[in-house]
Amino acid sequence: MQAFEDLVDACQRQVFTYASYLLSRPEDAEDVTQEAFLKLWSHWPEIDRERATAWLMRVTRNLCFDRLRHVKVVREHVSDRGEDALAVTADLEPSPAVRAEGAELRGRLEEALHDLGEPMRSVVVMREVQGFKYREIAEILELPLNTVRVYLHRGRRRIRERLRAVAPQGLEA
Amino acid sequence: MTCREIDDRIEAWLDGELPVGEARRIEAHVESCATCAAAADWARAVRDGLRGLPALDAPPALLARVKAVAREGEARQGNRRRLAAGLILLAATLVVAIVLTSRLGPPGSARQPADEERIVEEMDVERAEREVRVALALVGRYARRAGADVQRELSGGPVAEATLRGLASALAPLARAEEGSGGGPPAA
Repeated sequence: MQAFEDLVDACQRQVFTYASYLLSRPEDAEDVTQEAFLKLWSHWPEIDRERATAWLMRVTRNLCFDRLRHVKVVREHVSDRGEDALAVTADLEPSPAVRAEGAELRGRLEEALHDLGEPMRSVVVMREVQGFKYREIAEILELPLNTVRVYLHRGRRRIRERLRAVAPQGLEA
Repeated sequence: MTCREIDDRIEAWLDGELPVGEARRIEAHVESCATCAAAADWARAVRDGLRGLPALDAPPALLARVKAVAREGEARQGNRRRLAAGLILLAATLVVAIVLTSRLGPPGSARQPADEERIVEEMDVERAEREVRVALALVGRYARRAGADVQRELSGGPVAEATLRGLASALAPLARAEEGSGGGPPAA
């Protein structure tokens, strides 16, 4: 029990940060975080403690994707705009929780981040915002190590191009 | 190297992930090309900006809820485990009683010294213990189906040990009787 609670304390920031950057509403991020930890608890006896963080992050990712798909289905049903079915993260606004911290540069980076499709956005968030190692990201997202590198650089390049396409206010190097 | 090729590799170059020769060529190009130098500055600013985005803590109330649910679940599991252990103890006691009854005859039956010698002759303590272990394993299997993690307790756990100690204690007089009779096969 103590080991579980210690893991909750150790991982809460990783889980909640990731969910917050993927989901548009803070209440969704909170729901996903709670659900992920409860899933962890229900599987606790068979969880390999060495890989518990990766397991937890993978569950969080799946829960986020479920929410995003649901949101997308609802939005498409309402607007019928016919967006790319694979781009499950498209056109969602950055969460207010994330925005609350932000200045101009930060807000534009978050918008650009939210425009990335998956798994590019997950890779960029995990690597640059959360500081996961390539190996850890590869394990969580179940991708080859080299693919993680490619997605990371491609994702950052897309953000760079997007920000260059608009006025570079606040992003002067 | 063209500016387009440089642009494709700027992020990897900034992260120091290119081979040394390629990195040097890009470095030399960036130093002499204003367009690529600007692109590199942009890429560096984006990377640093992303790394400056905040990590967020989950609300404490949420974490408290999760821990409370886990504690309740553990308390329920503990009750189930105790119930299962009690059932196993009962079943194990019954198994021991059945084994002893089959070996020693019905309780209360008057035994003469000649009967005891015959029992000692037939009694194989190790075999009886083995049978009890098998019976306990079967009990464990049924208990596991009920969701209790009892197999661990049975193999070397306190219940099995207590049962086997009880069995050994019950059989000790018979073993002593066997030793007293010389340990050899009794006469027919």
